[in-house]
Amino acid sequence: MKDRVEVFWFSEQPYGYVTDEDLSKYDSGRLGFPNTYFDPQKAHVLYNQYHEQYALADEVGFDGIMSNEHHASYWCMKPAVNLDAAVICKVTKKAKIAILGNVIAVNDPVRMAEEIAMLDCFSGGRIISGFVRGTAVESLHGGIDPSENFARFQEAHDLIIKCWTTPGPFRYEGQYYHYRAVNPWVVPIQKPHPDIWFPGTGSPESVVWAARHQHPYMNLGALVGMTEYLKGVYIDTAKEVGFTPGPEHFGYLLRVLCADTDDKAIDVGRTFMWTENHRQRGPREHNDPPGYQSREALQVKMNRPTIGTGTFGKKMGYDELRAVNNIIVGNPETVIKKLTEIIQRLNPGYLHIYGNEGPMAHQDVTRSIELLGKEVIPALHELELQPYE
Amino acid sequence: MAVTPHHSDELMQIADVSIQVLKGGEGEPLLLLHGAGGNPGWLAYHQALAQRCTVYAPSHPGYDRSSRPDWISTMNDMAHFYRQFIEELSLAPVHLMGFSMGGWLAAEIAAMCPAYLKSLVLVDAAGIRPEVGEIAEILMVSQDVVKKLRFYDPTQVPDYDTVVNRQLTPEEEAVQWRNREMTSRLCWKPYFHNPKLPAYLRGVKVPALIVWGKYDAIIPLNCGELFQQALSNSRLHVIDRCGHSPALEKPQEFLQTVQAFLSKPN
Repeated sequence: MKDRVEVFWFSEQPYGYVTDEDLSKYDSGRLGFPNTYFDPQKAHVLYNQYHEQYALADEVGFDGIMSNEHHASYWCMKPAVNLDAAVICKVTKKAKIAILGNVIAVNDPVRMAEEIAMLDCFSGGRIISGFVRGTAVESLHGGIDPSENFARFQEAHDLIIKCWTTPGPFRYEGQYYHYRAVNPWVVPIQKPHPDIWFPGTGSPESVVWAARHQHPYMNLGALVGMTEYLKGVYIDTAKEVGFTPGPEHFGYLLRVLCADTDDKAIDVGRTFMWTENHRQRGPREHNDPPGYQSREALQVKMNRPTIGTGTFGKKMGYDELRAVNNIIVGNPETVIKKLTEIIQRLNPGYLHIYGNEGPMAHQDVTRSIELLGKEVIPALHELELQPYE
Repeated sequence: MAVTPHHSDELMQIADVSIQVLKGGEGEPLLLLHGAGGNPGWLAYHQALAQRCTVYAPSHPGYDRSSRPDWISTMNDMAHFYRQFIEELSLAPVHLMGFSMGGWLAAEIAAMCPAYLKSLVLVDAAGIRPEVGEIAEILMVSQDVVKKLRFYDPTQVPDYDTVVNRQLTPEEEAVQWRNREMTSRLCWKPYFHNPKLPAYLRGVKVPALIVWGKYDAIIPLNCGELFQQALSNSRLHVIDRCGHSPALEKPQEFLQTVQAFLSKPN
């Protein structure tokens, strides 16, 4: 059983120049907001700052770096997570690299398998391969009928694993993917393959699926009570399947900003609320198109705070979110205290720190990374995780 | 859907589908194929058509109370189901009338088994990609947007508030949600059309009436013109000051035109 938490650094890599005023002119913050507001020269500077943050996180002792993918998102400049992972491979030496994850239902599965294999070889076997269904917008932007998303996801998952574990050439003739000559040359270093993680925002059927496949489940920022419920779904399903889940099967993402003083951290951390009213704004058909998710999954998501990955949720203010430890800001002592409460309550094997947002100043973020790495993470590594009942 | 003395509402077992069918009237069989939103129920125009025909108004597999077997996920699959429907109920030769998405389905059935048809009526039908304009986005937008696109002038729609714009119960909303999921499955891509349909319709000589609202903001009038070109024994009737749903927006002209055709399709 994993008895110590591993702490990962995460950034959405936002394009922080977008304002509420810009967004208010359009009918939605994602599929309706045009890229005329994107300046590639500014993005060039931002990307390189985010890459410096990765290198620093590795240097100061983060156990890993997590990355993700979104399309049509001003708040996430990563429409290709594997490209970001390639950068992480080169600018870091020790950190694990959690791709969380490839949106496999909208991308070619054989190519996904090949890219992840390349990354595992680049990094010397540091890749954790997460697969996601994606928000509904990823399916819509990818031209996929949202009612096919889950079935495609499952078929793509099986095909990718086959690419890693079955020497070719072989045929694969499923419902959605048809190949008669699959023969990838590159395979991962890790055997039988990199660990597969499954992140989610709240769909119980996704949690059940993860548990049935014994893939660790990463919850992305739900309130603690809801997270406990979903963790319970995982544990119950694991028992049905016949394995004993532990902290190694569960991770949790939350927003954290550390500064030299509490006041400074509270002030900088206010930027976590950047464009809070626009992330999921738009017709219901963008975030919850017919056929994409069950009504129960929707209910769970409605009880999750709105911001984070731009899906459904309920509006909570900055102070409310701080009060329930959904956003944690403070000096190292405060952050250690609050993260300890979270870790003792949820017992996650992995804690993902969503560490910057919007126009947060690069120097404030790098200072946060330094303090987290040098003071907070060592304290968290002292905590002993408990087995799951 | 309410059952009145004018029609019945039953679940029939056809092939491997439990299909909800509204049926009423007497006369030659007329099979009505509904559009993307599901079966509108037994409305005034159904009752009018039932004066001279036995009207069958099923809910397609996957809609309303009808079941959906796994094998039905494309419009071609749906056409195959309806071929079996016509056979099992011995409806041939049947008058076939399709509205909007149901018009696409009717055209596919006509291409598949023209000998089963006595006549074909396409009302603001999907199925052919326009050369002028676009089929409007109705899947990734709110239903309020779709309602606004549907009519040229809602004030001329009789019973607009009770038929079109009424508040749905939670159960009805759940049914609508499932209906929309099935429409996504059938119509996502290519979007509301079959690029091969004009080629499939070549040589189909079934007498056909194509009815179109001149100001259809969902499926452009150009699609009606293309259907007319594809169907050698067809004529196009354009209704002025009318949008996508002439049966609701211009019921008198719609019924006069259609009933005259049905009584003498040749």
